[in-house]
Amino acid sequence: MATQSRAEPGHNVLRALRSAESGWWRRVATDAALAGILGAGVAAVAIWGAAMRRGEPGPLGLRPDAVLAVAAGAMFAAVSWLVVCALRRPSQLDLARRIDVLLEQSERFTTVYEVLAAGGPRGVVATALVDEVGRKAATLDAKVAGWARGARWPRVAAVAAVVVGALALSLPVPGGAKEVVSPAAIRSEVVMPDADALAGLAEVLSLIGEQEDSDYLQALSTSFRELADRVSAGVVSAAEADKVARELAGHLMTASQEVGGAFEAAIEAALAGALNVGSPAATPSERGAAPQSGSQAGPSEPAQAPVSLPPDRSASFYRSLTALVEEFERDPTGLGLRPQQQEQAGAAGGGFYAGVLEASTDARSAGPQQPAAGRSEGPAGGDPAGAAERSSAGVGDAAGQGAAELGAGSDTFLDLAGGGEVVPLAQADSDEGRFVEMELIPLTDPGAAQSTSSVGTPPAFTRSDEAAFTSRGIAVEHAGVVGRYFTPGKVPDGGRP
Amino acid sequence: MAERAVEHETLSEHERLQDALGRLERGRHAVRKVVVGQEDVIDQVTIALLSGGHVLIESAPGLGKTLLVRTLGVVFGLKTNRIQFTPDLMPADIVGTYALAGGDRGDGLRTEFQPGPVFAQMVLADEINRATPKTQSSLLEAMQEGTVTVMGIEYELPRPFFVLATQNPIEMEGTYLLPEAQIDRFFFKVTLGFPSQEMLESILEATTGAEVAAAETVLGPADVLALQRWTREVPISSDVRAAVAQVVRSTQPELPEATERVRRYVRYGVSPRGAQALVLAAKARALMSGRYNVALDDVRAVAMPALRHRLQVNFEGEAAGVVVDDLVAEVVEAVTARRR
Repeated sequence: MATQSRAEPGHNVLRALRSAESGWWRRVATDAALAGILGAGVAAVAIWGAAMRRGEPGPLGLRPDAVLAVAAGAMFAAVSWLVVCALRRPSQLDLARRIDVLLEQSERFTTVYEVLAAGGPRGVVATALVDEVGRKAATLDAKVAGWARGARWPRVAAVAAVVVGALALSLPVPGGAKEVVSPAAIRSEVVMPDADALAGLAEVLSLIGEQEDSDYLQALSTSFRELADRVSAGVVSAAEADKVARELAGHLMTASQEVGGAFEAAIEAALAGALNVGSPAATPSERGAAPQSGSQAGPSEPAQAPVSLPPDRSASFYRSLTALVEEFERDPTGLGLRPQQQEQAGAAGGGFYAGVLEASTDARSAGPQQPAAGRSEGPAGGDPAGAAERSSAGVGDAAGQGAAELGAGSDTFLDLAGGGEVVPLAQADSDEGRFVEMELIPLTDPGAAQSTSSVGTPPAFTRSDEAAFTSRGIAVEHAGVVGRYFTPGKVPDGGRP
Repeated sequence: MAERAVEHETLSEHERLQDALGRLERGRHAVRKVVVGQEDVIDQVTIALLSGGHVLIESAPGLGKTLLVRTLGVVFGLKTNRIQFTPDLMPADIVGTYALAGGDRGDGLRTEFQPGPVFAQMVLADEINRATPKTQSSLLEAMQEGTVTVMGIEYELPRPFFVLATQNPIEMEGTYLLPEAQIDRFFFKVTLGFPSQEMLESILEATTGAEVAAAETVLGPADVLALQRWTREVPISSDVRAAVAQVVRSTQPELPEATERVRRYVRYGVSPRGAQALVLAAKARALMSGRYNVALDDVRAVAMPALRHRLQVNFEGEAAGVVVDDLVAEVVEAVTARRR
């Protein structure tokens, strides 16, 4: 009986410790709920921010994805809290310490727990202690010690999370967010150009070019036709075709400004809306100013600064081209085509500048080339320069070749492939490397160069691979002619043959 | 059956414990009626008595040291002696000596040990610092061992044996300061300050009237011994024990636990004997308070008398006027606050 009475106090103490532990778990559960509320609030704010970043205006409300995200955030926070607390679960000695401190027991429970853990009380004082603490434990609400919390911040944070989360779910997401288009989306927006529209446009440009005597338009016509052929043959991807079409459209805008009149107005009206005319690189004023800027800036200027066409406007761009062709078919004079030229519609052949597309799309090239130019200055291309320009200055010039229209003459006299000795250019002509030298080899028979009758139909040419050059220079039989124009002071007879 | 007998015996001892604690409380009350206004000193001396230690009291003359010892002796039923230490006091004057004793006609004469005043249960060693170190050490040996050796014969001192030594902080000329190692043997060092106005009025009222309060015996030597045994039985939790160890280590200037001021101003810290004294004193205080376990409050309460004489300030500390009590309070407060 006495043993039982002595065991009872110890049992009371252990029961008090278990009660404190249950109180501690109750507090943990409450804190987990608070953590869940906090996590839900954070999740709500996060999805609100994500929606604003994605540009999805409007309130999140009870959207399924929002509810799911909030629930997931709450669950994650609550479970994480529970796991952390379970890992940091207090021992019974810790609970005894909590009781001692929070219930002001002067280390009684800690001491008794250690006495009991050591095998029970030994001696009268320890027994008296266990009896005393056992009696206290029977009436003590030890659960309070486990339940008691130290800080108020979890509750405050939970209330704040409720407020912020509710605001995030109810407040509409602002719609002024920056639109972010991924490269994949851009590719998906690209539209394959309409081959018929391109061919029709090429025909129109050929007629107009012939009427206005514009080599630029002729070359553009050829390029559009080639593009149409490639599109119809299916040998070009939509992205590449779209890119080339946009570049050609930029050239078309420039060429129309050169021609002026109704043609310019029609082109402007048709393409200005589709092209990004607001772009600094493609403003009409800049494109118009480029040809007049001297030899440093030629018709190839748009190739250096391609017109920016937003991807989502590709479809409208091609619709504009189609409408332009249809407009021309309906009323050719609307584009400035005179009646005699209308009759020749469809007769336009390959232009002399058939290679303009290839040249202008090459960043290293210098745009539409002049036939007699052995080189053109500067990376932006330029006006006809060098011997050809000068050779047109006087009839009978150019070593007996006779007068030739600028841009219409044959450049067969520059045919380096025809043999002859190659002489290097003088150092003064290189001008610190700012010249870009290129070789233009006509595809026509060299014998045709003896005649000037081929003015109307300049032969097509291809640009040779610069990298294939083994030396730089001019054939010796042409050196005298060229030298008169580059270094007239060194020619004994003043440059005249 | 045997188990029942053991249970009964234990219960009886528990009743004796309760009875002894009750009488102890009455005894403290009785001492307070005689020694007015010195409650803390009375408690500290009682704690030292229950712990089996000795007390060094440092006070100015006339503050009631002798009255305190006599009253305690009466209340606890202990035989009390008083030794006035002087420079010419010899060890034999304390521990006793052999003298001739025997027949009147010269026959049967024999040498007989005449016990000195140290043979008492409570000894007041007044102004111990006025005696020579040799004499001091004879008393300190008795304090430490509980025995004295005369002419090669060891004599056991009566139990309980309690020494209450005093030293005067003034008039230091011609005195022999106790070495640190000998001071360390005192369980407590108690300082008596000058009484406050109210306290002094109470002293005057109690001691200058026609009737002077007389102490009554409440306890006996057996009770004191039993209380000393029970004091050692008081359980102490590992947390409190760790706190004591931390306090003591914090007084060692070369240890990382030391506080900044300890590192700077302390020459020697508290010895392990100081830690033992701290624990025992805390146990005695707990028991005296009717509690059967040691609390941090007990440690905090007894830390000052238990540690102040075991901490030696260095030259820089003395020059800076550092008070040892402040250092002890700082260390104890820092440790117990961390434990809270």
